Amino acid sequence: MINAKEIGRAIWEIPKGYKSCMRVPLRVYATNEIINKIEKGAFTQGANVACLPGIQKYSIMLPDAHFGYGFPIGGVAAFSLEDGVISPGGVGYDINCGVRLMTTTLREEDVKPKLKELVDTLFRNIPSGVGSRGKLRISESELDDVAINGATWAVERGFGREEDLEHIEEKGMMDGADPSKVSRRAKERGRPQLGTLGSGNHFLEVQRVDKIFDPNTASKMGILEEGQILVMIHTGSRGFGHQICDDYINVLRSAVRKYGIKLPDEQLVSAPLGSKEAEDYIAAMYSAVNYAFCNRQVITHWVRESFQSVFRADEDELGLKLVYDVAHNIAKFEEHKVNGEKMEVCVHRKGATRSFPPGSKHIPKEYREIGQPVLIPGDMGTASYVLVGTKKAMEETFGSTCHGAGRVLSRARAKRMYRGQQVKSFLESKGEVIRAASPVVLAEEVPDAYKDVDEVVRSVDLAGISRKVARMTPLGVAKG
Amino acid sequence: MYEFLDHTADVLYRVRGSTIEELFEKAAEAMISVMVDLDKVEVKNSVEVELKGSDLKELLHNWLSELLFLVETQEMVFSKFAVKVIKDGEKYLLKGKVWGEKINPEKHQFKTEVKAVTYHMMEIESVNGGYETKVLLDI
Repeated sequence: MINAKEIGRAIWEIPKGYKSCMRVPLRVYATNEIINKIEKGAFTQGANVACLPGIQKYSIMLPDAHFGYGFPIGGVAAFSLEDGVISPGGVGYDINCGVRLMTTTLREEDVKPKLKELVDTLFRNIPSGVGSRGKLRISESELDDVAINGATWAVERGFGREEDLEHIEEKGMMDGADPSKVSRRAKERGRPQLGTLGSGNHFLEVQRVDKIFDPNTASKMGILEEGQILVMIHTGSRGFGHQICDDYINVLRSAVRKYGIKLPDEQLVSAPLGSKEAEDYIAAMYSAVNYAFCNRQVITHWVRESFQSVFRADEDELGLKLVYDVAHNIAKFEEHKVNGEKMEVCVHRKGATRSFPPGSKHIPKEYREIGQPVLIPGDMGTASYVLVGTKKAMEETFGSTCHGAGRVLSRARAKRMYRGQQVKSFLESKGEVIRAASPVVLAEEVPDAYKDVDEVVRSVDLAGISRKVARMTPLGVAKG
Repeated sequence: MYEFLDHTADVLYRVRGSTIEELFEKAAEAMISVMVDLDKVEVKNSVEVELKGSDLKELLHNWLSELLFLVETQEMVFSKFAVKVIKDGEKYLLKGKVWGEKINPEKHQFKTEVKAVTYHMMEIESVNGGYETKVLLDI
């Protein structure tokens, strides 16, 4: 166990002395049970982030934190615009990997008799799996439009509804994207993959509302009763984002030498904010952010079509309203209070969710009273959650909270312990319907490979950086 | 030769080669084996690659990334690799050829998608007259 001091409920601090290069302390938001499950390597990575130039207040680890490369996954770090840096490793390869949630007017008993047909239809209509190609054929200039306009591009072409846009972080379109900063290779990878789910932990889930903790807040989001059916989509920017991150890690390797930045780990390569290298990366990264918003928007449209064909009902009858869409891997410029004064900082969220409070002007009007919806995906056998953002998150974690359960078991070990078919049979014995492109992915993503999502969510709720609203359990899963 | 090590979130492996070339070839083999069983991939077509790196590490990274790029954009999968590494002043050049075939989902039964090749823990070292490094893949 690491030498951390509990300074508040589910809040721990590891002082600067833990590593000599640390400029700020490391903060961990976790219950006692959870902090004991976080590997030592993850703390080292969190401490390494605390060594980066211009970091403000503290390097933050959330209860889902685990060992990544460079930055821990489940981490937040904010940098001053004057002497801080931006790091592609602090965003990750899957730029704007994120989640969206839809409500339906259906109940569990409406869906159960048709569940198999529904999951099969979703699996067929939404391409998934390794190197999956979409049904869309977009030109190079259309890809540029996607990079600039994000989900708006999709809605203008009939993929979804105008009102969807209001319910997406940044309204599905981040300003400042510039596709001329994106390499030809990234575009070649991105073009055929728009409208695909991908592989690994990405999924499309038909969920039932299992428990509502705060009925008033839940009802504002259209989550009305236990047994109601919701749909969750978890995917990102596909090969487009992966290649952009990869390209800029090489660019920034030279920037590190050029600007003489000292790094405790090469995967933390960074460029000073305001430098040409940083500006170019941001313009490219935002292009991938928009691509991912667009990807989830296109998939949403196909989810709606699938429901309509299976239940032979029109959109109005089925609901399928977008609750919200949040990014889990992103860096953004936001105003936060540091040492009592407001300042603009560059917030890196790597495996973390924005958690803005009631009253924030950055969230949809309908949610100003309750705070921003925070969506926490579980994985196959485990629960997912809807939370809301809080004032305390604004004060303590640069308006951020956790993003999932966080792995505890390596993929290699999970594969040695489980077979895909065995995982499938186990979940099916609980009444779930699973369609996956790869049995290996099923074994790697076995629920036991993750921390207990209930305890992770309890941590952020206790610490006050977001508040529990509802818990969902999966009925049907389509995976890559 | 290569062996897979435990890493919580991603895929980490150690690879050895008696020459730099062999190290690069085995590293490619290991990476592709994460995506597909190599014995399911027949040698039908080949692609030539040529790339640069400012150091050996970058060259290895760029080589593996190029293969991921080819898998996605050429819709091919590979099982045989041959490279030549040339020192060019301060930089390094790689000329290589890879053999495989077009992806056939039924035949190849892909396992996991590799998102990217990271630099994390990558250190190319001389060990017992050969070379060794670790490679961490983001998946």
